[in-house]
Amino acid sequence: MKELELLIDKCLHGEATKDEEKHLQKLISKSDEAFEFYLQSIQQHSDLKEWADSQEEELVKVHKFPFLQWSFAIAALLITGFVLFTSNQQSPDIILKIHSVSTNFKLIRQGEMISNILAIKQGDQILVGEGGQVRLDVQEQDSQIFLMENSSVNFVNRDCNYINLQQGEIRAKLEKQNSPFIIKTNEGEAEIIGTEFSLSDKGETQLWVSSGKVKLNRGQQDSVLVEAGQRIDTESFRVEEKDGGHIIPNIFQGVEFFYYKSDLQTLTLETDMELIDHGVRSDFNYYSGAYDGYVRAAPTHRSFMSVNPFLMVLKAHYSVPEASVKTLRVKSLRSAHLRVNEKRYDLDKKGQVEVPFKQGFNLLELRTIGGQEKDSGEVLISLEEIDAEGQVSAIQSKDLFYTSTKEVPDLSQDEMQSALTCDLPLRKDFVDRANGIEVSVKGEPIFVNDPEMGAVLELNGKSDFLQHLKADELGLNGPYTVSCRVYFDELMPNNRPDDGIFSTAYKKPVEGNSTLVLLIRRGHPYQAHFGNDTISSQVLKEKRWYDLSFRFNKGVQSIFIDGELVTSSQGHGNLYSKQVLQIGTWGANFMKGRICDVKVFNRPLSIKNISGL
Amino acid sequence: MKDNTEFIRQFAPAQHHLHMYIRSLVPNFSDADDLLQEVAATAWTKFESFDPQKAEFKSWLFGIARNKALHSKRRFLRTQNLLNEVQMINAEQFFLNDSSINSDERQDALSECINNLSDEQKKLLLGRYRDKKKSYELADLFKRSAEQVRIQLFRLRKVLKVCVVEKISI
Repeated sequence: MKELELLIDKCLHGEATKDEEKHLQKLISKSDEAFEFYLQSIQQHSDLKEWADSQEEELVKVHKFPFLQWSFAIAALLITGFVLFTSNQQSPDIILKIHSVSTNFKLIRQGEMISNILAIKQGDQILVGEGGQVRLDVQEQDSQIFLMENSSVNFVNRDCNYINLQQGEIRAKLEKQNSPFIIKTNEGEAEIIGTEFSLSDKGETQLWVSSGKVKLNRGQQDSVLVEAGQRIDTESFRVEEKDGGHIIPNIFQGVEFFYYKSDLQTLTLETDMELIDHGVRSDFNYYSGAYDGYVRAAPTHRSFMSVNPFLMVLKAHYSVPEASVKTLRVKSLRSAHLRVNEKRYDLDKKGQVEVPFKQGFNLLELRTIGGQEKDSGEVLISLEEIDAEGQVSAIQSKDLFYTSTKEVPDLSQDEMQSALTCDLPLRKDFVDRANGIEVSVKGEPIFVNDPEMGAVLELNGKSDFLQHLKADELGLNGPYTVSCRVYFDELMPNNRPDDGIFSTAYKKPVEGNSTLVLLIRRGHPYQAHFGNDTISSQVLKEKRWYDLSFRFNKGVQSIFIDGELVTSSQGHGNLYSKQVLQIGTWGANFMKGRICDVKVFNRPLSIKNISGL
Repeated sequence: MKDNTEFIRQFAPAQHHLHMYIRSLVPNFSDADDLLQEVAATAWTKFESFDPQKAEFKSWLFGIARNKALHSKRRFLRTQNLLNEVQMINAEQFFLNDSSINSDERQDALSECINNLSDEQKKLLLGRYRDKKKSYELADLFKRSAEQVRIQLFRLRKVLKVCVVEKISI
C-alpha cells in the first residue's frame, strides 16, 4: 500500500504525472481493499488539511486576507445569486460611501471583485480581512458605519440601509434617520433610527448600545428595546448593563508599528509571524542601537528584540490634500518593502519610486528587519519625500494617522479631579494641592522667575530633588498618568546618559516590576518599571520647555510630548513599588533644569485629556 | 424564495464531507477546491427546487458533485475518469456514512497525536497541508531530497493513522 499512498499524496498536491495518475487508477481498481484504502487515505489527508488550516489562525496574526475561507467564498456566491435575481434601476435616497481610511477589504459586485469604488450599490458585498476595517459614511449626514475585521456583509435594498451581516461585527454612529437602518444577522434583526451601537455575529448575535436605543428582534415574536449602556445577546435574550469603552474607531495622529518574530520559520519580509509588540510612534524613521526604542544593543529583559532579528511593519494613513504623483525615498540598513494603498512598489537602486496618491488618506506600509544592529545611531529605516526641485524632506508627523478603538476614553473634569493623587504646582511652595501634604526637600532647590512660565522650581543637577509619598499611596501600582513641565539647562551633565525626572528607589523585584523610572535617556524620553521599558525616538533639546506625560494602562506604556503621543508599546507589567516617589532624580542621575506642574493621576488619561493638561 | 441563512445552515455541516467526497473524485486539492465552489454555486441556485421529502440535503449535494465531476467540460479532465461509476457510488456511501461526530472525534484525536510530534515534524505537516508547498520546496527548506520528504510524510501519516485509531478505540 506504500506505493498507493505515495501516489495519492503526489496527486493531491499536484505533483503526479499523467502516467502516475493512470497508475493510481489501475491500483485502486485492483481490489476492494485497495479502493477502501484509497478512500481512507483521502479521509486522512482531508483531516490533516483541516487540522493544518485551523493552525493558521493561531500562527498567522495579520496581513493575510483569509479570502478563500469557505464561509467567505460561499457568501460571495450567495450574493452573486442574489444580484442576478434582483435588480433595481431607481436611484437611492441614502448613499453610503467608502471612506478612504478603509483597509484590507474586498468589494464584490455582480460576482466580480472590484476596486476604486466609492458608493455602495444594492447587491454589493464587502468582505473585510484580518486586521482590516471599512468605514462607510452616509452622504450628507454625520453618520458612520464601521465594518470591523473578519466581517462579511451584503447590502440588500436600494438604499443600502438593509444590511445582512453574515459574520463579524458592525459598529455605527447614526444620525436620526427617516427610515430605520435594519441589520440582519443569522439570529436576529436590529432596527436603528439613530444611535451609537455595535452589533456582532460571531457564533451568536450580540448587540451593545452606547447611546440612543436599538430595537432587536429575535424571530417573529421576541423583540426588545436596548438602551444606552446596555448589551444583549440572542442566546440569553436578557438585557445587561455594560459600561465604557469606545465603539466607534477614532483617527489619531501617529504611525503604528508591529514587531513579529518567528521561531519556526526563517525571517522574511513576507512571512506572517507571531506578534511580539504593537504600538504607536510619530514617524517612519528609526535609528539603530540605543537611540531608538527596542532597536538597541544594550541587553535588557526584552533584549531578544535586539539579539534576535525581528520583522518590523510600520503603517500609517498619509493625508494628501490632492491627487498627485510623489517620489518617495526609503533609506534602510537592510532590504525594505514599501506598499502604498496595499500595492507593493519596487524601489530603484537609490531606494526611490514614483507613487500615485489619491486625495485623502493613503495607507503607507514599510517593512524591514530590525535587531542585531550596532549601537551606532545610523538610519535603520526612513521614509522621505522628494519634491519636483529635488528637495528631500521627511514625511511630516502631522500628516500621518492611524485608527483605533482601543485608545483610552476621555475622562470628565470631575473624573480627572477624583483621579488626581498628586498636584504639585511647584510655583512658590512644596505643598501638594491634591492632599495638603508638603513634600520633603533634599538639597537646596530654589524658585526662580522663568520668562516663559513665571515662578518655577530650579534643580542644580548635583544634589537637588524632592521626595513624596510612596508609589502605592499615589496609585502608581496600577494604571496611571504622570505629567510635568520641564526645562533642561543641560542634558546628560557629566556625560551620564540619564536625566532623572521621576523615580522610586531601586528595589529588587519581589512581585512584578519593582522600580519606577521616568526620565530622559540620551535625550530620549524613557519610561520603565525596570527592565521593562519604552523609549521614544524624539530627542529633546536643552533650554526649551516641554510638557511631558507618561501613561500606563493595561500593559501599554505611552509617552507624550507637548500633548502628542510620541510612542507606545504593549506587553509591560504593572509597577509594584512601595518606595517613595522621587522628583528630579534617578539614582545619582540628577536633573539640571526647571520643573513645575507635576501631576499624578491614578487613572489613564486620554490623548485629549493629556493635551489639555 | 428560500432564505440565504437556511442554505448556509444546511450547507455548513455537510461541507467537510462533501469536500472529502469531491477529493476522492478529483484527487487534487486545488481542483477539488474549485469543484467545491462550483457545487456550492449550483446548489445555491437550485436550492429552491430542493425537496427534503425526496432526498437528504447531503446526498443531494453529493449528487451535484458527482454530476459536475463527470460532466464538467472545462476542468478536471485529467482526473475526472479516475473512478468508475460503481466506485463513485461506493465513495459516496463511504463519506455519507462518516458522521460529523465521527469526523470531530477523529479531528480531536489527530490534534492530540500531532501534539506528540516534534516541532520539525509539525513544521513539515504545516508546510505540506497549510502552506501547500510542493515536495521540492519542502526539500529546500528541510535540506533533503524531495523523495525523502515524501517518504517522511508517508511515515508521519502512518504513525498518525495508528495513533488516531488507538485514541478513538479507547
